[in-house]
Amino acid sequence: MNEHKNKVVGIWLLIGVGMIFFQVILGGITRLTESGLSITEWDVVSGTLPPLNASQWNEVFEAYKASPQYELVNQGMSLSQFKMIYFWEYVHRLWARLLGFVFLLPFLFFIIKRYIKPIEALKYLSIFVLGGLQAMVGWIMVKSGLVDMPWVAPGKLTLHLLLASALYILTLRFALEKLTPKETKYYPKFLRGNIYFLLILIIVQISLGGMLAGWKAALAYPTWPTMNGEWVPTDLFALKPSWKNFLENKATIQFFHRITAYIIIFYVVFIYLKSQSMPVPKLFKRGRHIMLLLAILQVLLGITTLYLSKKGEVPVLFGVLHQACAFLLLMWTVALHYWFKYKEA
Amino acid sequence: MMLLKAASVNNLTDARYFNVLDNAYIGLNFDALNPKNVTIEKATQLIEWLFEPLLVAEFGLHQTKEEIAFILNKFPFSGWQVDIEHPCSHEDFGIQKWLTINDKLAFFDATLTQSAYLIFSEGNVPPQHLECKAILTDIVLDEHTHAAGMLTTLQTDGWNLHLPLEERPGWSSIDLVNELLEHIGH
Repeated sequence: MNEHKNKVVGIWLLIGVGMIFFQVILGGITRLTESGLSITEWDVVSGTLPPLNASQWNEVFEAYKASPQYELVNQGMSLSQFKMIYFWEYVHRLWARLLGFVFLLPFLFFIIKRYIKPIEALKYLSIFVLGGLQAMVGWIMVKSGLVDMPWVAPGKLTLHLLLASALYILTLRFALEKLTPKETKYYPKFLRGNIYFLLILIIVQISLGGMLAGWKAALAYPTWPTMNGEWVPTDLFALKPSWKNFLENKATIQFFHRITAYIIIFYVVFIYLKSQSMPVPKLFKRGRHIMLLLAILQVLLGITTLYLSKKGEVPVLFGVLHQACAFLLLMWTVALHYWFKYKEA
Repeated sequence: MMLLKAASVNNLTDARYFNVLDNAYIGLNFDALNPKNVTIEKATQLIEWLFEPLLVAEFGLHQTKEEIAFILNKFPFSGWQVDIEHPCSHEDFGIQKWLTINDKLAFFDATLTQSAYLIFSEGNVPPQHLECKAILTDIVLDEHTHAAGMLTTLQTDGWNLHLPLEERPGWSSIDLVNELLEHIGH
């Protein structure tokens, strides 16, 4: 009976993981199509419905026309063009609301039906706290692009992405706890430690990716393997103090995004090869091939996105695929790390 | 009369000097990675002391359309300047476009250059029959600049003068510019 309950709760959490993943993709599309600033209000309840008639459409379009993005960048945009950018931001927000329901309603049901113990319920509450925080940061981020600058603050965009990653990792961990049988063999800590380090590297890389997207830094150096002909860009630490370069300098952000990518691929290959000669859990044995495949695919997608950015626009499809692959690799690394967790000497 | 533009002005002495000259533009560089850049705050302070200046906003290769539009909206610029290879070089912000040509002689798209002021680096010869509003030549001013010699070799509609970096507040390169302008008779 307990096994059945665990399975049901695990599937619920896994659906949540899938929905968060899809939300990240929607976020990427929203960013790349520059749709994020199209809805200038934050109405949690009344915003659920889109404009339903011409007068409502005019109202939201007029509100957008007062934004710096319209005034400075999209002057003369037609209503049908506006509807397109509105669509992506609307779907992104609608999906967030849906996520809230998908987590909340079954959660209450599971508590009443005692599928979840009280101590576990407290643990799962962290998902709601993070989710609430994420929604708030999302709005703060959008607001940053409605006042003066016609773009969202890259730091806030990155924080939004990082919180999404945290929510994703946490939910996945909880799902794995419910769905994966506990490992009973003892395995050397060496590999698990290395996977943990890989996980940290991927999170750092996602942060750099967020900054890169926020600053549209791909457009500044759309060449590979060099950065506009230089292996190390001259402007790498042009800003003073040095730490400011990691927040505001496109050369620094893109350079370290590349370097971290090289380290990650090196690390993945290292873990892959090293694990061949070491005792590893069954699931890991199968999963490591996928890890290697995802890492290689991710590098190729990154380079392709960069190359196609030469035309002055980041290609939406490849940009989104690059982001999706990053989150798949993140998911897989969390799982690989987890499969080493439970051991009895 | 020769067109003059002081590139990347970042001190009040230089700005006021060019402000009173006829047909002279003051370039303000908004590329944070350029050592002679000005922030919006500094530009505000400089402009406050100028009388109806002809301002040109200069941008780096990495700056996006949004950043450019944002800066151009801040001050009454007469023109904006980017590298001809910048993805925004085709954009029209409703003011005069100045395009810099780097060392490589890029393939010129006539629709891009027709309405623009083109700035060629020193020693870089513009192609014949080039269609544009004006051709300027980059001049890097330092103690080795020989104004008289330059005049005999350059065929240009104007100069884009790169003044030495201000070493300390109040220090400027006006003497060098003065000498040059005397030769031109500006």
